[in-house]
Amino acid sequence: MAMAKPASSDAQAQRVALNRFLQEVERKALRMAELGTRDREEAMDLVQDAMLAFVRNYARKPSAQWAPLFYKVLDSRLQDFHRRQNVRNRWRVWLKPFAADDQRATDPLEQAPAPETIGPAHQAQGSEAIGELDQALQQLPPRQRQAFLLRMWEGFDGAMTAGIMGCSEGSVKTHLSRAMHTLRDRLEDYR
Amino acid sequence: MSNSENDKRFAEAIRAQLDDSLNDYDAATLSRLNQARQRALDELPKAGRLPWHWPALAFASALALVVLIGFPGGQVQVSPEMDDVALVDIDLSDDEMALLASDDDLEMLQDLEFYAWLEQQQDWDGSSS
Repeated sequence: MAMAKPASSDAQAQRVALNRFLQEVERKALRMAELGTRDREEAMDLVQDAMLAFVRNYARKPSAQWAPLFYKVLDSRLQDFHRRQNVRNRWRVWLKPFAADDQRATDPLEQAPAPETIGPAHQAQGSEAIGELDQALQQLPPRQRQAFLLRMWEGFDGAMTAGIMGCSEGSVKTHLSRAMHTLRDRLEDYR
Repeated sequence: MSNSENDKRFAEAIRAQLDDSLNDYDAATLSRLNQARQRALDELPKAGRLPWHWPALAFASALALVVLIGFPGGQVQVSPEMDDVALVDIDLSDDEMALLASDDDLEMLQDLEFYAWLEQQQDWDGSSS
């Protein structure tokens, strides 16, 4: 008769399996987040946040479901980031006339550099070092970029990508087709 | 060469470039990723204990119901005793509403459909193998 394994050894095995899984996805996750945020620090925060939420909420799910669940959490964090950016940008527009009235007023949002110029990569290496591919991917609308990365890089099928992104399979197809079209135009060397 | 073959080669070239770029991270970045991973693993629920988010999930569900039933369409009834019902349009955008609801537990509630679908997928995979 098989002996029941002690709970602590199960917990240890689960920790090892989760560690291996997160190790496999962390660099890709960071890369996706960097392309979405254009900022290494923001990206690192998003990945860490996604890892924490994933482990807290889904560690007990079967390991076959971990990848889509992890990317769903990350995608949701990226969407939140873009929403925050949109809200911030709306406030910037709203605050602009007041700042113009009083030149002495220093609004931190007004002082913030444009997203294109921030990030350690820019600071450390200069804009030339950012590859053509990165620029092309960064310039895509967020949903198109996510559809492209999840479908073409991570290799999820259309239905799974739609589930992760919380949209229909038709929307994924549309996003992907537009992304491919734009990337083909911008990346002549890859054709 | 057909368009689909062109697309395939194009996507493969991009995929290869992205894969290569994963090796460019320096030791400091990899170390930070490792630390983030270990911190996340420390959150593993202890065996035999109820997941930490259950009470929060119950509270979030109740809150979501109150919001949905009480303030449909983002409108708040300010003084229900008044004959002329005063309505204040909060005018929250979709982005702002989504941000307010971005807590993990609310997120889980929203994603129930996806989890059910994932379970179904796994059942199919299991039965087909």
